[in-house]
Amino acid sequence: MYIILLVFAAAVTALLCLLMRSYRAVAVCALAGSLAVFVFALFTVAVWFGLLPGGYSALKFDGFGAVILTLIATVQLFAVSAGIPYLKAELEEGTITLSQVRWYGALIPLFVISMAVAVSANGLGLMWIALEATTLATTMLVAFYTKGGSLEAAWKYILVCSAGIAIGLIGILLLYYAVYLAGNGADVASVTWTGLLASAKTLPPAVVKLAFVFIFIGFGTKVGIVPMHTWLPDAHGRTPSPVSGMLSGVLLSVALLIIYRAKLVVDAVLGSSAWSDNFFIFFGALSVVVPVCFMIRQKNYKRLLAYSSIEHMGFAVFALGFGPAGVVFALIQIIGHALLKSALFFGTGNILLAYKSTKFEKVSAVARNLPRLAVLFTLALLMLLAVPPSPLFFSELGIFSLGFASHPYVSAIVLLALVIAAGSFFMNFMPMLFASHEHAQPLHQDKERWNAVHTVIAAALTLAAGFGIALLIGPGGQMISRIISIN
Amino acid sequence: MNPQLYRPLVDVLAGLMLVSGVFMLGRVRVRSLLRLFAAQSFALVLIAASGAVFEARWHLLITAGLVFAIKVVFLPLFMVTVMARGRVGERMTSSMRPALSMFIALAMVILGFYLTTSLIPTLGDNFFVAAVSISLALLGLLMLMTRKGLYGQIVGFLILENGIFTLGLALTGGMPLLVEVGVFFDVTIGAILMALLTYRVHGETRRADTENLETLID
Repeated sequence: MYIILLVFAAAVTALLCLLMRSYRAVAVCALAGSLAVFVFALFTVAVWFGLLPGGYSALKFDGFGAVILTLIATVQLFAVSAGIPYLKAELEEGTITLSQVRWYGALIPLFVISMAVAVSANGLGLMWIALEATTLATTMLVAFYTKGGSLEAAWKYILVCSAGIAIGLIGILLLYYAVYLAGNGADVASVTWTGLLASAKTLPPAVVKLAFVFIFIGFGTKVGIVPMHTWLPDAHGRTPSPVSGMLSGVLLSVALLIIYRAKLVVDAVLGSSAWSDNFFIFFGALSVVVPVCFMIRQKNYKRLLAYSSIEHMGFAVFALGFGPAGVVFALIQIIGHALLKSALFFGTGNILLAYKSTKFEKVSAVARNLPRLAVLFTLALLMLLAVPPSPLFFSELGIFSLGFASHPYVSAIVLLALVIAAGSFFMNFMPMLFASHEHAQPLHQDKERWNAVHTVIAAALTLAAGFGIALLIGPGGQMISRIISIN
Repeated sequence: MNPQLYRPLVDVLAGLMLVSGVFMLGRVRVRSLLRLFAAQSFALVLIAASGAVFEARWHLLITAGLVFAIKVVFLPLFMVTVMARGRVGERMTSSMRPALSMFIALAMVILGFYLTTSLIPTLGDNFFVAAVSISLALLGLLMLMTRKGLYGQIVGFLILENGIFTLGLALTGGMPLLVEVGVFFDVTIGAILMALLTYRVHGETRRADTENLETLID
C-alpha cells in the first residue's frame, strides 16, 4: 500500500516541479517530495518486515530487495539535497537555465519511481517495464549539459542499455515459455518471481538455463558487467554529479538484484547453484580486473570513480558466486558502495564548481582551498578503499576468505586487481587533494562555506561507519544474513 | 475462416519480415530504410491480427492496432520529420559496404536458425516463427553495431525489438495485455528520445552520424 503512496508522491513532485516559477520553489518541491518518498519507502519496508500491518499482493519483496529499496530511498534523499546548492550555483553562473532545472526536478522523481517499482514488482513484465523506464528517465539527465560530449554519452547510454534490456526481455519471454511448457495449470498471464520459485521443480531446465543466460547478459549491461560496461564511464562522467551518485550508488544495484533473483530461480530449477555460480565468478572477476586497467592512468576524476563502480559491482557479482555466505557479503558490499560512492560523486560536484574542470591536472590543493570538503572526501575515499570501520572491509575480507578456499587462483588475481585499484586511487587523488601544481585552474570561488553537500557526505559517512561498526561488534552480520533468508 | 490457413499464413508473413530485415541491412538511404521498416512492422501487425482472428485471442487485436499506429505510421513519419528539420543528408554511413552487410546478414539468419534448433528443441509448429524472430534480433544487433548513421542505429534497435515482439507471439501467444502495452510504451518513448537526441546532434554538428561522437575514449 505504501509503495503506491510512494509512486503517487513522486509523480506529484515531478508534475509540481514542472509548474514552479522560481528556483526556490522547485527546490522546496523537490526536497519535500524526496522526503515523502523516503518516509513511504521506510513504511513499505516496515510492512514487509511485519512491523506495520498491511501489504499489497502484486508487489512483494525479498529481504535483498527490501534493503535495496531502503538504499534507493536514502541515496535519492541525499542526491536531491546535494543537488540544491549545486544546481543553484550553476544557475547563477548561467551554465543552465531555469527550465532545465524544472526538467531536472521532474526527471529525478520519475527515475526514483521506476527504480522502486523495478525492485518491488513481483510480475516479471512490470519489472521489465520499470527497468527500461530507468534508462528512459535518466537519458535526458545524462544529456543535461548541452555541450562537450554529453550528447555522445547520452546516445551511447540509451542505445547500449536499451539493446541490453531488450535482450533481457528475450530471457523473460523464455521464462514465460518455460511456465507455458510446464503447463501445470499456472496462468501464463501472471509469471511472478514467487510463482517461478514455487513451481521451480516443474519447469524445463534447458529453457530456464537459456533464459538465465539472456537475463544475465541483458541486465548485466545495466549493472556494468564487463564487457557490457562501455556506456558506464561516459554516462557517469557527463551527468550532473548528484545524478552520477544515484546512477552509481543505486541503479547498478537494482539491476544486480534482478539478476540475483533470476539466479535464485535457475538454482531452484537445477537443484544446485554450481552452474550459475561459475557465471558470477567468471564475469565478476573480469569486471574487477578490466576496469582497473583503465583506472591507473585515468585523467578524469569522475571517470575514475565510474570505473571504480564497475570494479565494485564486479566484486559484488563475484561474491554472489559463493553461495549463501557470499550473498551476505555481496549485500554488505552493495550497501557500503552505495553510501560511499554516491557521497564521493556529490563531493566531485563541489570540486567541479570550484575548479571548472573534471581533469586531475587542472585541480590541485583542494585541501587548502576547500578544506571541509577535502576532509570529508578523503575519509570517504579511505572507506571506499575498505579501511575499517568501513563495511567494505568486512565484505572484502569475507569474500576473500570464501574465495581462497574454493577458487584460489581467481581470488588471487582479483585481490591483486583490488590492490592496484587502491594504488591508482592514491596515485591520482592524493596529488589533487594535497599538492599544488602549476597547470591548475584558478579557483572560481573565494571562500568555502558549509552547505548541503557537506552535510550529506557527513551523513553518508556516519551511516557507513555505523554499519561497519555494527558488523564489527557482531549483530550487523547476523542481521544481514537474517534479512537475506527472508523470501 | 478455414483454420488450416492460419499456420501457412503466419509462416509466410514471418518469412516476409525476415526478407525485409535482410534487405534493410543493404539500404543506405534513410527514407527507403524507413519504408522497409514500416513494411516489416505491417507484417507483424498482420501476424498479431491473424492470431486474434484464427485463435480467438482477441486482446491481440489491440496489440496489432498499437503496432500499426506506432511502428507503421508514427515512428517512420516522426523520424522523417526530424531529419527534414535537421537539414541533414539522407545518405547513411556504415562501417561496411552494403553488399558485405547483406552477406553477413544471411550468415546471421543461418546462425539464428541454427541457434533456435539447438537451443529450444520443443517448439513444434512455432519453430519457423521463433527462428525468424531470433534471426531478426541478430540482424537488429548487427545493424546497431555496424551502422555509423544515427538513424541506422535507431532502426537497428527497432528491428531487434520487432524480433523480440515476434518471439513473444511465437512462444507465449502474446504476453498479458498490460505488459505488452507497457513494453510498447517504453519502446516508443525510447525511439522518440533517440530521435530527439539525433536532432540535437544535427544542431551541433550538422551531421547524422557518429563521426563527431567519438571523443569519449580511454
